[in-house]
Amino acid sequence: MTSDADYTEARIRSGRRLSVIWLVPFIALVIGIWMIYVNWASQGPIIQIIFESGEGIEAGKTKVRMKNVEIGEVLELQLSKDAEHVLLSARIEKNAARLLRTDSKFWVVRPRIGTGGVSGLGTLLSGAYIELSPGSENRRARVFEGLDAPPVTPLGTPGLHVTLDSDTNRSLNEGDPILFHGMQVGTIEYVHFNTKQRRNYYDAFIAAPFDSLITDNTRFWFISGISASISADGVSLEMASLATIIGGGVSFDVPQGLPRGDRVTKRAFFTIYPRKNAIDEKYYEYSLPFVILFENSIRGLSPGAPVEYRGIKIGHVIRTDIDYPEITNLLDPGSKIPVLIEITPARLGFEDSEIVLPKVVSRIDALIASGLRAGLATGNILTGSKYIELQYHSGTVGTGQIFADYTVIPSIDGQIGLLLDSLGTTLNTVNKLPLDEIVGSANSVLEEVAETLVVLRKSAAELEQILADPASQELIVTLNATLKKFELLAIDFSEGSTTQQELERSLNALGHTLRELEPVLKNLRHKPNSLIFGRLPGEDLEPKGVRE
Amino acid sequence: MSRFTLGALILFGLISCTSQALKDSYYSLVLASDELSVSPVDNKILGRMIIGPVRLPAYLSRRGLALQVGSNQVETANHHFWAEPLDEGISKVLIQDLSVLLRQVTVDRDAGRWASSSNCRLRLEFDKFHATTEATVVSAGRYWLSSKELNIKWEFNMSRQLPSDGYAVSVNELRSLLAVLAEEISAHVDSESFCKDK
Repeated sequence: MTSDADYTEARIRSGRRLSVIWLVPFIALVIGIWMIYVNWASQGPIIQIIFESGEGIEAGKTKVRMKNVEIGEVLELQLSKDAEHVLLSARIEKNAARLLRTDSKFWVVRPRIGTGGVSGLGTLLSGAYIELSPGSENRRARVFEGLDAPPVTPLGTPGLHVTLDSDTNRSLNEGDPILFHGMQVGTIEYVHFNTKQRRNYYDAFIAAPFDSLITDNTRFWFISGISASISADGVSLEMASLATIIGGGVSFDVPQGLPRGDRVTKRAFFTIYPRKNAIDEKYYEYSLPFVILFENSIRGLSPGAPVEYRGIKIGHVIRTDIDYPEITNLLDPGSKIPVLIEITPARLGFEDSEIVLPKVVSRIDALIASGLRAGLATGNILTGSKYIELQYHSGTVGTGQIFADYTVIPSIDGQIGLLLDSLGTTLNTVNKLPLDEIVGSANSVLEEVAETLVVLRKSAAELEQILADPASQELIVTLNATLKKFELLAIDFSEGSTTQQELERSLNALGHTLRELEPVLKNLRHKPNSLIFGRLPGEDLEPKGVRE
Repeated sequence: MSRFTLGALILFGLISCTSQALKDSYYSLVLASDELSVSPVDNKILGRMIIGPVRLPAYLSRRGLALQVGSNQVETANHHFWAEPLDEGISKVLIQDLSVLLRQVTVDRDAGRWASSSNCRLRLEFDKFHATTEATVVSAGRYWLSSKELNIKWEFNMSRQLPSDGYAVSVNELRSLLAVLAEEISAHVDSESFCKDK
């Protein structure tokens, strides 16, 4: 029998204990989380690229490549909120994430045909893809603005970026070549038109090692495949390569006479001149404006036309319009047409310096006062283009007229004016001639000539009478006979004739005799009686031989 | 009778007063030459050279041989004469020597007619051509070689010792000097390709 003490009170424990079986899903969860993490950690970043168009791009199909190596894939393609762009999401592989910099470039590679050739033909079968050009900036980026076309110059290409500007009607396109002495050394990368300044700006890239050719004295000018110009200077025709014939381009060089200058190493700005000749024209920095007022038509004269002084170009025409406050009514018969010209002192032999400008002005004023005149001259008969010709006309006096704050060079209208001026000078000279005296003298001379002719006629008649006289005929016959005798006589004494030989022999004999007489005469001189008593008794002094 | 006798006596007296006449001697440069034989003719004659005129100073143009007795004194011999005018003698000797030396050039004397047809000419001018009391003979002067293309002048001045006394020896030595002069002229003609037209 057991007692109650033998029984201990049972301790009641809660029966809530997790079963071991729950460890299985827990481990599965951890593995799952780990797998998710690994998957997340192994994936590259998702980037967004904004394109103008989604042509050829498909989500889940279009790849992102760099140098034909796949580095990502397009995930999603959707329109922007304003529906003006296409937002493209793409996942880039993790090992390529370092290439995503702020200056990285994306563009769609698809078949393209341009002036530079045909590209992207491979995508006809494989479909379009997105190409990445990696950046070099330090900062990373996830949103990019896609390019419509491949960049002209791959990023990282050694060379020099320059900015060119132009306000002419000529324009360039991206990819147009930049030439140096006919060889392509760079390309136009980006074109921008500044509406405020109304100027074109071009970002250009000069590849190494040709970037060393760019100096601070370099000048750029437009070229085109075929350039024909007819001006007052004549007709000129230039031809370039096929690429420039189609698309045009830019060339550069240092103007003649200028030093090469210092090399440009950072982005620099250059203006593009309309043609090569212009870079030499702009070589001189300082010039002086003058106005010429023409009464007659200036048809054929255009801005840029040369201004010549005695055949030498010393400047050019700036303006030929009438947009001056002083011109109120062109229909007024007294109104004149102003032509603004620019004279370059350096072309007159002065220094290209601001210091000489007052001196040149005073010299030109003095010339104007002494008769410097401007006239229109025809430079090209075919086109009728004209130029300004400055000539010094003595005898005419100018005045110091001012028009629109410019000194006026008095004009002689055209070559007809010049001709009239010359004609006037000639007539003045003729007027000054003593014509009365000359005419009087001429009359006297003519009278004398007439008298002489009468005498001559009379003498001729007398001569005819003499010749007709039989005695004269006989005289002529006699003279002829005498001349024949003289001729025979001359033959007798001519070289090689018997007479001549006998004469020569006689002269030789005479010479011989005289030589023989020489000692006799010498004896007679010293001893007059030597003919009777013999010659000088003494012997001759004879030469002596060498005595040993 | 008495007159005839008187005249005969006077004539005899005069004749008795005269001294005995000295013998005159005549010398020739041509005869002094050992090479008087005709020069052999080369088939390849390339030109013709005319010699003349040969100009002499007045004291050498005399008949008597000249002898320099002082620095500026010359005596003309009274009994020793050139057998022919000296200029003719010199011409003949030079023609003879140059004909031997210049095988491809015909050398002729200036006979007037040749002058116009010949392309080249040798002219000579002598200042000295005589013996001296210093036991030498001297020959000096100048000569010109002229043609259509060139006209060159050379000076010459040569002398030779007299081995023994007498004018005959001096004439032989003068002849030798002309031979030396001919060699010099020949060398110049060859070096300038003178007178070789073809």
